[in-house]
This record gives sequence, structure tokens and C-alpha cells, in this order.
Amino acid sequence: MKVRITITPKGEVKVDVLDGIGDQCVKHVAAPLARLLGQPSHFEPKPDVEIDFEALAMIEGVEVQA
Amino acid sequence: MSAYLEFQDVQFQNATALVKALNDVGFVNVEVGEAISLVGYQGRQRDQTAQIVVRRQYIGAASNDLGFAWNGQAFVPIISEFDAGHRLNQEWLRKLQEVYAKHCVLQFFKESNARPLRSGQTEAGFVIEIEMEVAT
Repeated sequence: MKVRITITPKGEVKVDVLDGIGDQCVKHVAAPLARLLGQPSHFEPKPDVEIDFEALAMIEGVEVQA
Repeated sequence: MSAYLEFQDVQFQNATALVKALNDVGFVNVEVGEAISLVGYQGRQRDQTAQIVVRRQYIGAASNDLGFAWNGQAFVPIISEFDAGHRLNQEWLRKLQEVYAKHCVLQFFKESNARPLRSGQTEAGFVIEIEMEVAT
């Protein structure tokens, strides 16, 4: 799985999956980062990425942006 | 006497990353404890306490102590009205949040099997691309 992590000038963390499955990206990257940060990390699924939205909904601290 | 302001909308979960971020923005001397009393610019102890404190002499000549107090969920900044209008302003808080986020990402690398592929500054911010092995 390949992932891009972007730290914005406001200190927000955005996670994009480059190669892999979306819900795995959330489980293994976005959610652990959100726990460390103490704030939501923002996961932006791409149209061509397979997403398990039910799995996403079960993971706290991750805001899924449609 | 400059009143202390609590910034409840600026939250830091991770004490280690917060102390490292404070170091990176220029505060090498940071006190960490249970309930450290904050001291004002005239040397008078104030009512506010915090778990993470930068003493006023490291901030500026007329400054008050800077604190980060645990509110039950996160550390929130306690900054005097004077300092919030000077060195410890919104721009400084934003920079602290950015550096804090970088330290959280670094900690994530240490705790995971992520392998950095490339990194760099872009218009969107600081970007790190990683590769991870995950069980399918």
C-alpha cells in the first residue's frame, strides 16, 4: 500500500491512498495518525479507490470527505 | 496584570510531540509536571496551573509563563492576553500545530512498518509518501 500524507500549514493532516485499498489506508494510517494527533485526520477517497464505508464508519477519529 | 486565556479550540493530545514541537519553535527549556503554577511577568504566582510550561524569561521581557493544561481530553494552551497579542499570537499557534503534526507523523513512522518513499514541501503543505506492508 502506498499513501500520501500531507501536513497543511494549519497543522491538519490529510491522507490519500496512492496504491491500495481505502479502508486499509484508514485502518493502518489515518486512524493511528488521528489517535496520535488527538484530532481527526482527513481521508479523501478517490473515485477509483475501493472503499468499505461501513468499515470507515467504525473507525473513530477519521473524517471521510466525499 | 494580563489575564490568562484558554484556547480550547487548539488541542494537543500527545505530550511528547508537543514538547518536541515547542523545542523546534525555539523553546528548549520546557517544564513537564502534574500541576505547575504559572507565574506572571512581575513574578507573582497566578491561579492557573498546567502540565507543560515554558517560563516567561524564555518568551520575552514583559511576558508571562506559557502553559498547556490537560482538560480531560487534550492539552490546551493557556496564554496571557499580552503574549497572545505579541510573540505567542495566532500565527505562532498555527506554526506550533504544524510542527506538532510533523512530530506525530514521525512517531507514527516509529510505531509502524511504514517506509518513507519521498517527502517535500508543496503548495498544499509538507508531503510525505510512504509504503506499508499490510495483511490482506
